[in-house]
Amino acid sequence: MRGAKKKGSERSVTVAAFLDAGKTSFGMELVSGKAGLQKQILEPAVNRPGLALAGFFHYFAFRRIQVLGHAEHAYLFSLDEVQRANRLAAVFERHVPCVVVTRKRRVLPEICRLGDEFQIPVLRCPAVTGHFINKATVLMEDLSAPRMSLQGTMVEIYGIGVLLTGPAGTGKSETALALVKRGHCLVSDDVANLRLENSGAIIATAPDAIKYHMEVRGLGIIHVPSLFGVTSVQSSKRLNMIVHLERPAAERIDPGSRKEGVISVLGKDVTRVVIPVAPGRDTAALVEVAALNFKLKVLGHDAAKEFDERLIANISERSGHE
Amino acid sequence: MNNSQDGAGESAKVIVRDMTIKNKRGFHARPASLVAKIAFNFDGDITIEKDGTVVTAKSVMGLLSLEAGKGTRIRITASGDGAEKAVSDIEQVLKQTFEEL
Repeated sequence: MRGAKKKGSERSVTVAAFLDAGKTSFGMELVSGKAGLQKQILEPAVNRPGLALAGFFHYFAFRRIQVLGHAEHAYLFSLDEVQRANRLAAVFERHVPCVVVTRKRRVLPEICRLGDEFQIPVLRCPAVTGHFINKATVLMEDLSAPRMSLQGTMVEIYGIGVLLTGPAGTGKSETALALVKRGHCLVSDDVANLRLENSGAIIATAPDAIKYHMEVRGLGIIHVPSLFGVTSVQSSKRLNMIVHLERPAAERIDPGSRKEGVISVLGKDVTRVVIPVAPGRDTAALVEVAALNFKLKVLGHDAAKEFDERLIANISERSGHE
Repeated sequence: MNNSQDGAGESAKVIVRDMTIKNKRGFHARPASLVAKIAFNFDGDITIEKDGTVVTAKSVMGLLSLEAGKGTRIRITASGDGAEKAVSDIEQVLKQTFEEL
């Protein structure tokens, strides 16, 4: 496929990226250990180091984000000062990626000091531990998800996420505009950011800068929801199929020409239908029907195959009579 | 600050050029549409890259999605007949400051 691509392998996440995302979504802040912000979070998950603080280091998940909540602090306060410092140092010595203190509590001075000493960022978050773990897990999954961007216009047609691809000037945006006028939704015009979720679903979104806008030749940039209402746009949509628009080499489109196959996107197979574009053909209607046909197949009906099978059965029945 | 690489044959010649966005307001709608126009009239492949994100220069929306502000370093890559001219035309556009806007 032509178009812009970004490498789609599993991404490593730095503490800085986690902090940045956590700042806006749950008010996370840096307390100490600034020098370690470029450290990688090797496992995108959260660990409560209770057993480690008690001195048990078998199976210590040191690659994960370490969270110190109410229970951990209660335990730390039950220790005398020397023991507490030693136990905490033992956790930091394992080169954990970062330590998060929840419930907006005052961070113990020894934790601050250890953060700077081992260059391990110590973060603070106002949420209670349970909420933090839930939010951080979702955030880390999102940040570490394989992603790429593809040149194409993403639309939603009757609940089906369709990415329109094809060389510049084949009318991707015009087709999307016609689809929006028919009541379907625009997700992104000309660039789609794709992200592979743990479930295996590929989610398409628009880059922030161009969200809800389209560029239509001869009209310039338009704001879709202002013109067609809030139902005409959607911020993200699962990718179900790709419709590739192609200007045929020959002027006439052969009857019977039908190209359908699968292509790999972020390691997942995605159905791809090629539609020849030519003056006088209602591309939007064709794309709409391609989407419906896809839905029908998902429901277990392959219209073309069933038609052919019935035809073959009829023919052989008739020739059997003679 | 530019380098051209020779491919295997004449048609496989790839032009690569790095440059910095000079204009105060960054790579906004007007320069983007001028660049897309040049790129669209060029038959080969032409892309612009910023921080690992690559978009086709033929799409205004693609170029705008880069959000390239002043001082951003970008890389223009083109291949095909007339690639050299397309790249230098784009470079000319990006050298302008668009202060009249």
